[in-house]
Amino acid sequence: MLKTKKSNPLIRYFLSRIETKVGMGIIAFFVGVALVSFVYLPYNPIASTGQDYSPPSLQHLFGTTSIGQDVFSQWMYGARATLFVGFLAALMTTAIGVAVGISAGFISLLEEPLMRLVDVVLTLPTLPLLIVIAAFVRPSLLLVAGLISVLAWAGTARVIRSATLSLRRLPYVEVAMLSGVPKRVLMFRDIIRHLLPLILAYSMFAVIGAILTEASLDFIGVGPVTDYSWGAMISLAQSNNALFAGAWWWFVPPGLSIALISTAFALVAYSLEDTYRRANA
Amino acid sequence: MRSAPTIEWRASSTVSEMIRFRDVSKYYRAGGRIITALEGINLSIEGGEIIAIVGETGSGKTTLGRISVGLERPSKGEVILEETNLNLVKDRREIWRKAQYVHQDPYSSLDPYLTVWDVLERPLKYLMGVKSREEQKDRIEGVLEEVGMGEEYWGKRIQELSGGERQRVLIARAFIVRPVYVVADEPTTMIDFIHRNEVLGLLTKLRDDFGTSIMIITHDISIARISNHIGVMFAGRVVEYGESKEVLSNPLHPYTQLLLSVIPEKLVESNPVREKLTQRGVFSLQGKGCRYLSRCPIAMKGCEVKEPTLEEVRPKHYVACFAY
Amino acid sequence: MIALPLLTVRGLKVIYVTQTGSKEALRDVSFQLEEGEFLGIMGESGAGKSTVGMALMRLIPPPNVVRGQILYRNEDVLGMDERELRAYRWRQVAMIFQASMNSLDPTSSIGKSFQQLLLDKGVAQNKREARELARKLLEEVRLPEGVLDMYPHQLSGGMRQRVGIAMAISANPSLLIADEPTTALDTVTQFSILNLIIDLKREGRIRSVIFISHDLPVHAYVAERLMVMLKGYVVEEGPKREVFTRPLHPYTQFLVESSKLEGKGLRLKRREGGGCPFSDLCPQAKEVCFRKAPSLVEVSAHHRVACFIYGE
Repeated sequence: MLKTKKSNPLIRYFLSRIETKVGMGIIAFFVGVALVSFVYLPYNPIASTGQDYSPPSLQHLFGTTSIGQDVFSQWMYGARATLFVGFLAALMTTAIGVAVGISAGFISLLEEPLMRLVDVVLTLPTLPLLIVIAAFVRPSLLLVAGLISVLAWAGTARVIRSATLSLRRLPYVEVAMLSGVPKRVLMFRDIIRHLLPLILAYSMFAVIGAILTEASLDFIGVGPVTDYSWGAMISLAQSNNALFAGAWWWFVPPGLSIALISTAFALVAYSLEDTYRRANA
Repeated sequence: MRSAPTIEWRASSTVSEMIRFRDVSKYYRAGGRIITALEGINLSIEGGEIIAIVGETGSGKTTLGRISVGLERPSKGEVILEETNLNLVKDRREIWRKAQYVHQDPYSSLDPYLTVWDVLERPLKYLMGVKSREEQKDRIEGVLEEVGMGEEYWGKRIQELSGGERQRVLIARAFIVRPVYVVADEPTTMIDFIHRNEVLGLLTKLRDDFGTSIMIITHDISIARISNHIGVMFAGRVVEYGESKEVLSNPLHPYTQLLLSVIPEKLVESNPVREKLTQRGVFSLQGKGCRYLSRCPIAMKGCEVKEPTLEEVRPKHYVACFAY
Repeated sequence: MIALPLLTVRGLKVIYVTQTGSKEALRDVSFQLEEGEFLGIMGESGAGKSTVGMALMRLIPPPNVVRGQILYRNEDVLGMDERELRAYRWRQVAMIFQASMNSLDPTSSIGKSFQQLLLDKGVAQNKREARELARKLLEEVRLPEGVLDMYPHQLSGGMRQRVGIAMAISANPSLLIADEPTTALDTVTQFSILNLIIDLKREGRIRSVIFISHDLPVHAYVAERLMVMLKGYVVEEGPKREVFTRPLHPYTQFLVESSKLEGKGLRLKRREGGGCPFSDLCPQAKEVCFRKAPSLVEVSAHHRVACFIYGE
């Protein structure tokens, strides 16, 4: 009888916060754009469909690139790749981080070795390492997501571990033990339920990190450029001297989008953190 | 994963000595010093009796209760529960099938997101191996009826319940496995006056219906009126022990006398407390002498030298004091 | 000449306003305190007893609602301005809390905390005076001078509470309000603090005391008059001995009976309540008890009770 539905007052509180509304609104918008791109794109984003370097107009809402490609279509198409990597990486990061964090916090024998591992992973420089790897093996979107999470899970693990440690001391954990509840159930059902807002908050942070990392990789030119992500757009704009040519419409939409969506996730994350604090006051 | 031990429901044991504490001591290390929580406890509790362990914070009473159900291990000595030495038990779930614990604070002792059904189903499933929905329903219904809660509570989440209701669920959880022994830690401290008698009445009823021995840990000696025996603890030792009626009418140890003198009916009439509070500037030397020395109004020469042990001074009435 | 009561409280009403709603903590509380009296306010959690103390000290900030009248030596406390309040709080009326023990600055020595306090209140003009005064105050609460150089964590709970008392009486208030000052202490320490307060009163160091506690034995020991509260109402008020030996209100009767060693340990049946705060449990509830709340009536000189059994 797994009742994982969180209690209503907490969800209501979370949803009532302005940060949640604004953040989720923005995220919904971008997700919508990405989804729409699967069924409708104004133009073929790769094809040359208009004048070179033409500013935003009714035919090309975001103008065109140096070779006449429609920026708006590219932007819609790019949303897909960016969000895909972001969500996937966040999912994997969170899954690994939570599993390690709870285990380290709950099982004393595992604490030492796991935390040493976390310390080591934390010291690894993410971007340089990824750049090096990507330079050798031009990765697919999936691989990029995987690589990002292999390096990012440690931060989540640490936070989850300390949260687990403080929850473990509460009497109801002992009472569950007295009822014979096996450790595994305690950890992955009861404690997770209490940590849920925190876990979700850190998964938001993971999304932001993943999107920015991916964009950076693309910008440098070692990402999976075959899928026009926003980072790739900025990269191409830069290498074609768009700024010099005054074609701000090429890199402002993707750049602004990255900033906006990161902010949106951050807002939702802070809201979640607040909800968590409230739940465990 | 090992499957839960399948033991059928059985009537409460008829063993006369339910629990035996043999020379139990417990020490903690804190910041370089050694703190003695319990020292040389020798006690036994009979089947089907209620014993009140009375003492203040730091007297060791909570530690005693926790050790008696295997939540902690004694540093020295052993606890024998129905002929089983708790020190030798590998899987503590076997202990908890027979002995349970009711925590003090009903607010932090239950996971607020669980439902009443969840809380009660767990010991059935994991300690008793009861998996059939039918049987679970029977037992949960049965125990909830004992504590005066009906079917409408099954689906309620803990956070929806009041303090008094939570406590009853906590008690029901302990009794659902039909244990032979239950420790209730300060069951009345977190409850307001109005409901205190209810809780005490409930514990008495459960003892009557199930034959469970109950250890009530408390700092309020008036609780002893529902118990068969009282053990008075001070600084880790039992300083007086005997049948409740006897101890309440003839308290022998100065500390017991103090505790009994600070009940309203006595205080309203006179000012007995002042004499008993004389703090003698004498402090016992490290480890030697009676631990009550610094507060004892009747301390004599011999009290600084040795620690008194429990002696039978009146029939079945034991006291650790050189005055006797 | 009839002496003016030191404190007159009429129709005091307090509502706590929070994000999730408002709660009526006190409903129509009225009582008087004569100079030199020791009044005990008895009640469980939620009875509103601490709120009374906080209201008397004007420590309940808006948006919480405080209505009614509090007269201290005929001055309207609730209407005082900043200047008047500063002369009133800690100089006329002082308060010690249960948390007094833990509200000492852990990073300052006791002497330093004292110094700050005394200079702040203007009781001492310079550091030397402050130290001298602190030493005298410590002596009054039976603590040795050495305590001035110690830090809070080095003192026991009882000693810290004595420091709290010393600080409270430093500006020579006429009225001391003690809110659960001994609850977290062990029996012996508890009673030594109570003895201290009794002695200070006997020596004239404090003139009047309001003692707030949920602990019945404590009231049995120190109080001269006892006021019993329940859910924001005053249900009974009278001389201690009378209230204990001849309790009038069913709630008080229940409390007194339950605390007896040979007591019957009555079990009360719960039901839907309304009107009187005790209607949900009272074994003698009548029809009128569910309709409205009774007001205090005088049953004998100085003994009042709010219960329809006694009229009104």
